[in-house]
Amino acid sequence: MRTLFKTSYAFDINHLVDPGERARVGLLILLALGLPLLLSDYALSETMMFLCYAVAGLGLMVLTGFTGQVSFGHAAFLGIGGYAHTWFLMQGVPFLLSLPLAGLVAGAVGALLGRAASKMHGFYLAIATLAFAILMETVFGAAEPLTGGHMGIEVPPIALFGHVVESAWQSYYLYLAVLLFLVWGVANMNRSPSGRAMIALRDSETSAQSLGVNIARGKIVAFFISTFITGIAGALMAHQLMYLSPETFGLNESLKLLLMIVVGGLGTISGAIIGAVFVSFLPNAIEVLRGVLPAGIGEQVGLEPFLFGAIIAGFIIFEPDGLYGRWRKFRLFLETYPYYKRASAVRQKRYLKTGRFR
Amino acid sequence: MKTWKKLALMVALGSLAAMTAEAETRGVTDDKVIIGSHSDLSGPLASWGVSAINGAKMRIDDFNAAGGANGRTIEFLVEDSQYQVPLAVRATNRLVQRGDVFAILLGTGTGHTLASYEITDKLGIPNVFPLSAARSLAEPVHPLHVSLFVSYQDQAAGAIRYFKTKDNIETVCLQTLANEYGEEVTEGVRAVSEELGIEIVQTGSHRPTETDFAGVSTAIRNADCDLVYLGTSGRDTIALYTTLRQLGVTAPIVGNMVSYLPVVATAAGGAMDGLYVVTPVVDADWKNADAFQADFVARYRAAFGQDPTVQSQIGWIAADLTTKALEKAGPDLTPDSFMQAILSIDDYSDPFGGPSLSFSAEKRFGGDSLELLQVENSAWVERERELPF
Repeated sequence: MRTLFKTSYAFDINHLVDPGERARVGLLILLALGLPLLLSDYALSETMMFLCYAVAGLGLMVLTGFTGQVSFGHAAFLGIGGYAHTWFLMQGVPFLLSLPLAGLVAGAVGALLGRAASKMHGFYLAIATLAFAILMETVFGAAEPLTGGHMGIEVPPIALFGHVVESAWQSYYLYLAVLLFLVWGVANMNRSPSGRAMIALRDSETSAQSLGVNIARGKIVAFFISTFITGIAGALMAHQLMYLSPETFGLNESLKLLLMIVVGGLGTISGAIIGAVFVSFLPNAIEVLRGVLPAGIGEQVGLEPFLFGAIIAGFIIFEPDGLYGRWRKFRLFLETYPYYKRASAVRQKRYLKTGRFR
Repeated sequence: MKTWKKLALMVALGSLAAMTAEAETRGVTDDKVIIGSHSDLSGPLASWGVSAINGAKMRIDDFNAAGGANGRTIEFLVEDSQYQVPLAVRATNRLVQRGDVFAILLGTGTGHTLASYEITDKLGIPNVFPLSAARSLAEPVHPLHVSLFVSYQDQAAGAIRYFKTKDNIETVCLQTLANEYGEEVTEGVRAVSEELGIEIVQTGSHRPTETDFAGVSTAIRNADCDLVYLGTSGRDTIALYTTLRQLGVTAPIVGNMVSYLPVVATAAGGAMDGLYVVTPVVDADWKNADAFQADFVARYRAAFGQDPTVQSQIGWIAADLTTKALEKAGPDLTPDSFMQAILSIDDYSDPFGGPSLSFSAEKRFGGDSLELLQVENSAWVERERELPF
């Protein structure tokens, strides 16, 4: 294990202290910046979908990963964000204003839900958010003047300062900027009093309360931030979907978001990004696989959901820490070789489990 | 700054390359034309999607075996949309950007196809014969869209007109699914009722997942209307119809094309007898099959291991119309000449015995007439041919 000596105050402020990690993240950002030169338009549009999922996963991570509040209904906030954004754009609100406004609308609804859900735990919270998602799907269908009803609604193109953004690479950089900004924001939030309070809430509500954390307020803030980010993801996604209809934001999408952060690794920002890579590119990988497999299996209908399910089940059974957890263990193994102990990776406290003494 | 300039240059070069590529028609070479489809192969509407694609494949294989048209054979690319709009968008993107298709056929689902129009319209790619009869798919007139059905609105209109002349109905009850299909049926019933001076005394809608219709049925019975119109699909049609009859509703009950499924006729051990449907496509009479139909069934069974359905016929017809249009368009194949060729098809009669199809610059829904069928002894029986709408 390498020991890092603190030599300046900046050490406490920097997000990435380990030089190796700094290099890796830097390389990743460079790669992301260079991608439009390497990829075809189709691959780039897939990558933009990935960026949307990464933002959405980041939002859910704030709630589920950092605050320990499970949500089965986050697709509803994707929907609220997407529809609100589309509505604002159609009213002539400029894109740069409409995007945060859409986030705020989703955040406000999320805060309301958080107010109602702040006394709920575990299964009850899961069911409440699930019910909310189902409810919202119906609301999207019924609110015809705003959402176009079940017929759906066309999403206007992105326009910045009067110029319509047409090329894929331009919107790609826009999406990337939004993601990086939000990642940076969430990383900072984690160090703020609210962020600390969220993590305390997750680990034990009882202890958090005895330390003076206002539990109800903490949860509402977490819901607000989480749904704000997810709403922005929905707004970005709307441009990629080009056409919104209520069933797009159904239960499947909620489950996808939740599974994404589980597979990526709960409780870390990297987990949200890695999970998004997983759900966005797995369908493409499976498609490539189809070509390789013998025709009998390769042309099987429903191969994709099956592999999706199998991989996710595998993760939950064998690697509950997700892909990012696996990577951390691997790194620890290299750094501490030959002193690596399995026990050092065992979690002390399970997330999603609330204090028992109420 | 240098990188930005480089980037801008690359983009400029890229778009230039794209423009020169546009000059010759995309997806068309001297010996091949690429046609794509995004359909539901593994989702909730797979029974529609798979059968339709199989039917289309059969026609295309025959076409290719016969040497194609104007020296070109068809390469048929199919993407699975799983009946999800985002996946339909992705599938369309893949067909357009990776597959470089000339045209798209048989897009499955209303919202799904509307979403795929967003992509194909911009690039001028024909997106024709979607597997949904929603009016919004071909109206208002768009140079690249055309449908081979009669819209849901017009189906409802046809049925209500028929019963107005036959039974002089004055009131109608309407029950639909709470989705885009239900909305279109409602629009159609509203429009024709207003025109004919019929009063809609009861309207209701239900979610696709609902299974209990006692409340709805009681409301319909209490409304005591002369006709019950259902904008429903499979299972809910069965449940609604049996409940309504149990409650003693004697008025004729009419369903839309979507309820026209073999299982609806055979369900509930004969309790479905009496249900009407109007449809622009009719299952061939396989028992008295002619030579072509017998051959179709035999080859379909051999190729796909199941019996053809009405959707297989739709797929076959869509592919047949496409091949006809390719022939007519001549050697100089462009989206424009292709669409003109489709629009010049007049009085096409399919070999399965359905109503004829005609297209024109204004008539974007091919179906010329409807058929009225009724369940009798757990089977669909033809009641009225060439029903106008």
